[in-house]
Amino acid sequence: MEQPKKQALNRNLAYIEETAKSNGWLFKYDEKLDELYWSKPTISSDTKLIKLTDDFAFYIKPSGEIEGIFIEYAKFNFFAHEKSLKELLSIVESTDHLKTEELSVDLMKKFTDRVKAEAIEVASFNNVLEIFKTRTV
Amino acid sequence: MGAYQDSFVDYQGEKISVSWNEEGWEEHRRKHPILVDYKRASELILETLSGPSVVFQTLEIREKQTRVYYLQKEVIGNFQVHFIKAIAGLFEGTWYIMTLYDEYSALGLQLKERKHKKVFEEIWNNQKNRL
Repeated sequence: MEQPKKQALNRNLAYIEETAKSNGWLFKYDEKLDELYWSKPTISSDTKLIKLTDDFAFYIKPSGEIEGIFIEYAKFNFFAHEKSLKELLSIVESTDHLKTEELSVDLMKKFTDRVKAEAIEVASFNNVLEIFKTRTV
Repeated sequence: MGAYQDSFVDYQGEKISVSWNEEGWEEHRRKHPILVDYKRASELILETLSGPSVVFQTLEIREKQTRVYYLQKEVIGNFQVHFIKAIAGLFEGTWYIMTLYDEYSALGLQLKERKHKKVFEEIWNNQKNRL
C-alpha cells in the first residue's frame, strides 16, 4: 500500500528542481536564525519536516510529495563546508526571497547535485513514510 | 488577528516572552504547520520551555547574541524521534522566543548542536530522556 507513495517520494527527490519550479518554491534566508528554506511559500498543514541526514531536512507530505528543504545553521555550518555553494548564500542574503528559476543554471545544478547526494539516503530509508502513521502533535 | 504576544517561565524560572507582529506570525506559520493558532503555539512553547529534554546555549552564531535552544523529544517506535524546538534570544535584557518548530528524525542521528561543542554548550539534559 505504501509503494505508490514511496515511488512518489523517490520521483520527487530525483526531479527536485522540476518539482520546485512547478510548485513555485522560493529560496529564503532567515539571517537572525541562520536558516535557509527552499520550499513552497506556504507549507501544507499535513506536511512533516523530516531529517534523516546531516545537512537537510525535507518537508514531506503523506503522499510522498516533497514541499521543500530546510537547512538549519546554514551560514555557520552548511555553507562553511560547502564552499562551491557560497555564491548561493550571497545571493539569498541580499534579497528577501529568490524564485527557483532566478538561480543560474550552474548554481542550481551544484545545489541540486548536493541535495540529491543526501536524498539518496532519504530514499533508501525504507521507513520514512511510516512517520505518517504516528500521531500528530 | 493581531499580534501574537504571551509570556512563559522556563524550567529554571527564567521569564521568556513572545512578541510577533501579525506579519511575523504569518511568516512562521507558513514555514511550520505546527503553528496552528496562537493558543496551540503557546501550549507548545510552554511545554517545551518548562520540560525540555535537552537545552543548548550559544554566544557565537550571529551577531554575538546569546541563543538558547530548548529541545523536547519523544521517541516513537524503534527508529523515530520527534523533536519540538523552541529558540530564544536575548535582546536588551529580555528573553524572546524567536521560533518554534517540530521535526522528525531517525533515532541515532546525532544532534547538530552536539557536533559543534565549541559553539554550543549543553546546559541541561533530562537524564530520564537522555538524547
